[in-house]
Amino acid sequence: MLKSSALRVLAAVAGTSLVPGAAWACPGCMVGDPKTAGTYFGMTVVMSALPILLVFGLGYYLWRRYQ
Amino acid sequence: MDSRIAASAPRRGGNRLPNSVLAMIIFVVAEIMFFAGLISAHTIARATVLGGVWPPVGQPRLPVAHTAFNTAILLLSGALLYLANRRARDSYAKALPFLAGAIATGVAFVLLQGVEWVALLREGLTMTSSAHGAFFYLIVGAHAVHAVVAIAVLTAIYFPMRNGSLEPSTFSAVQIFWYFVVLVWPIIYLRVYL
Repeated sequence: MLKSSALRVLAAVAGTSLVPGAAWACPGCMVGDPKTAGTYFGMTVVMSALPILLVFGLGYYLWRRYQ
Repeated sequence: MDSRIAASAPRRGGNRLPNSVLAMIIFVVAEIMFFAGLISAHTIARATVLGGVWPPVGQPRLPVAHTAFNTAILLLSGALLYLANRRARDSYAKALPFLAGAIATGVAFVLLQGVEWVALLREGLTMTSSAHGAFFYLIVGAHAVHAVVAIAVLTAIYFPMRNGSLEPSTFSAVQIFWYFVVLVWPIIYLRVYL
């Protein structure tokens, strides 16, 4: 029951992220020259991915340690 | 329980990560995000500056060569602490000179950075002179505060190490913090100075 609800929520989140207008909504990213847009995009990727990598990295380290 | 059984049973939690080390790792993860936020803001400001000229016209250039030398000193400090850790596996007495060297080179880094700041202030680079100055003092200043705190902690563990009363887990936690201070600096150097 709980598992199927979680799957539905996950599917809804994944589906929403595929709507282009919502996924790329950013008031400042796509204005100005392409270099500026590239910087915005790059920093967005870094700031989004870094905490995930850090948390999963720490989790992986602890998992390996207690194997 | 029979004492013989208790003695032969595997020690529970024998391979556990010490609390101080785990806490320091979590703290360093938060610190990485703090510096990532600062560097990200600096990168965006640099990319969106009017005219595309960075540093802005009329603002002093940062001393790239002088700071490269400082960077080498800080990396040497990290290497000395690593050697102190290796020697500490034999005895704390063998590790002490390396720990002292790590503290001395760390102090030298902070002092040389201070000299650089004084020169830049005289040239007119201040927190309010431009976004360039504001970001420079914010990012490099935040790192300097971390370096000073880390040096104080390294100095605080010197004396327990000399007495042989230092907990290995405390030494490990302090090392993690100093390695963070050392390794985040080249990234700051590459993003802010070059």
